[in-house]
Amino acid sequence: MVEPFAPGILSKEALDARLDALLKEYEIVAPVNRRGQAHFSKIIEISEIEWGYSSSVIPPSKVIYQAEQLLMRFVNQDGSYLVVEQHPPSRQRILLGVHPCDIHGILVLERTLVGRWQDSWYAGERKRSLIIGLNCQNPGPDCFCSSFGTGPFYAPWMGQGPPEGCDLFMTELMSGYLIETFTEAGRRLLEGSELTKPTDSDLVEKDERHKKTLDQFTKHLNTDGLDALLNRHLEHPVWERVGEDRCLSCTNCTMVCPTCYCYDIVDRAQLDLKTILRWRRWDSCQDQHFAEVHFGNFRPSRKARLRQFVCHKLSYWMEQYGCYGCVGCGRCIHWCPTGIDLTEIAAEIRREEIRL
Amino acid sequence: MERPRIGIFKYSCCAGCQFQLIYFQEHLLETFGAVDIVYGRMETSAGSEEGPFDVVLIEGAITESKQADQLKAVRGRSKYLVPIGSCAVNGGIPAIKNLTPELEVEQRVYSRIEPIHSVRAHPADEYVRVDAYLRGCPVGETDLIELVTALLLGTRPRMIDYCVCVECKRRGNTCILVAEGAPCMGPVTNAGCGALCPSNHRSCYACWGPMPGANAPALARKFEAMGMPPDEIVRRFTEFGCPTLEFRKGAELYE
Repeated sequence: MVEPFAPGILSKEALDARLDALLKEYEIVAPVNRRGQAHFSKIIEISEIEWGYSSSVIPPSKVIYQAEQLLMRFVNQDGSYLVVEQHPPSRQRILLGVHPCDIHGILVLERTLVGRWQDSWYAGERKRSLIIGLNCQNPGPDCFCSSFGTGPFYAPWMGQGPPEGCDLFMTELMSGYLIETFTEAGRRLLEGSELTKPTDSDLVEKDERHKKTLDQFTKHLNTDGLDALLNRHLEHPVWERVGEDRCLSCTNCTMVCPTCYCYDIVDRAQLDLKTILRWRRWDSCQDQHFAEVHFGNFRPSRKARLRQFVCHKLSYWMEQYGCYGCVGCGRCIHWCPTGIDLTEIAAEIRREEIRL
Repeated sequence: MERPRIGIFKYSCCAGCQFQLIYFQEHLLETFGAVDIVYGRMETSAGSEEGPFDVVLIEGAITESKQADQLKAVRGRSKYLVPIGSCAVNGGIPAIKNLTPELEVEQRVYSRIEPIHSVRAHPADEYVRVDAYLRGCPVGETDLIELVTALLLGTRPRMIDYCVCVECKRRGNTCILVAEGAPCMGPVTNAGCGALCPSNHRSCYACWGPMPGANAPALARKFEAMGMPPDEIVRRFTEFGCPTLEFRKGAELYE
């Protein structure tokens, strides 16, 4: 038995047995293959987990920050409305197999949702979620987390990283899983499991796997002074060209982004007018009504909306939160029907500046 | 509004939207008897089309001049006028004929064309000002409930006017256009259906018509790059909502 917070190795069989036991106690949400794509879904059996997945369609941060959340009900009682707040369930659940980029996605999202201002619904969902991270050894063609230092293996980034963002962290090795424990809750999850002390060759293997994974990246983004660079080129022709020729304003980029937090509030009255439900739903700056105010819209063109998305992630976020709003997960690129790539946009602008 | 007086006028269509209303009306009347259907041939045998009405619902496309005349007259007798369903909102299925000369359409369908006085299929808003659009094929329940409750509460209805992708992503679906190259019209189609087809692994075929401001040319070019033949691209953008400016822009690149 090793010290509680020291890293340990758990064999594949022992891990499965442990997870099987946890499944009786907890709801486990893990990457599951549905028609060839990984989705974070509630699992019934351990065998459903797709350990070697590359990227999930919807990021784990948006399992916590749900697409549609019932905030409150207004109930008509004798002519006046009673406000009944809805709260997330308290049952603990485990988010299993979260890649480093997505853990950073959660941390970046939280600078908004539980930063200076506390969103009690998000905080409730977060509080009940234990997170088990997993180093990524299968980056996809659109992944560029290595450019931000947010992956593929965990390393502290902007002073943040898994110790804040997760309870346990795993790396798949030949001999099993190297497990790092960051919180007391994480340690409790492993109670009863026999961890062995990692050997030197285990640690060497981890480094080798890290290097091998880094070599697989085909997409890169030069982040050097990126925020200022984009700020200098808000009228660059790339915005108009990509916005008009290719952008569908379909919102797919923002919906799959792990750090996009925008939402809309909708009240839906039931037909008897006795109950009105107040919902919060994901919204998107790509929707043409998003920036609509009385008598107009301050981002009426697709050019302006596309620029808002890209510059918010790669520039404005820095001023707002002191970090980039992008963690390099590549989902906005992968799921754009017309293949709009924010790394290409940034590279085009940078090339221009070098030419000048 | 106390018991709004409602008139329902049907033009060229399958009447599916009125069926949707009838299912809905039963629920509505039993629950609180809130509205008076003053005129509506499928709903009540009594009543007169003279009005006046608080709300007139228009179903179907305008395909005859006398329909246009009646529509214009009804506008004057109603406080609010709302087209319901794809045919009335943007031409719908009847507007498929708009790509073929009218006489040829008539000759293909009818053996004697003397009693036929058809014109191009037009949405209601090409003839009269409308106050809201109740989209769908048939008309969508979320929007319908929103309209009725807003009317009763005296609030401004918030109709759905974003694209199908928004609902599809909120449901956590895999994008079949990207993942499988399915010819999905979701990115340009108005939502409200709850992404029904993509959620069942079928391409959206735009039955709700275009999302306002949709970038149809970008999607049409994507279809071309996927290897779709030009006539098929034109069909995708003219099956529903052929007269709309948004879909015209997609179709005309390949006509």
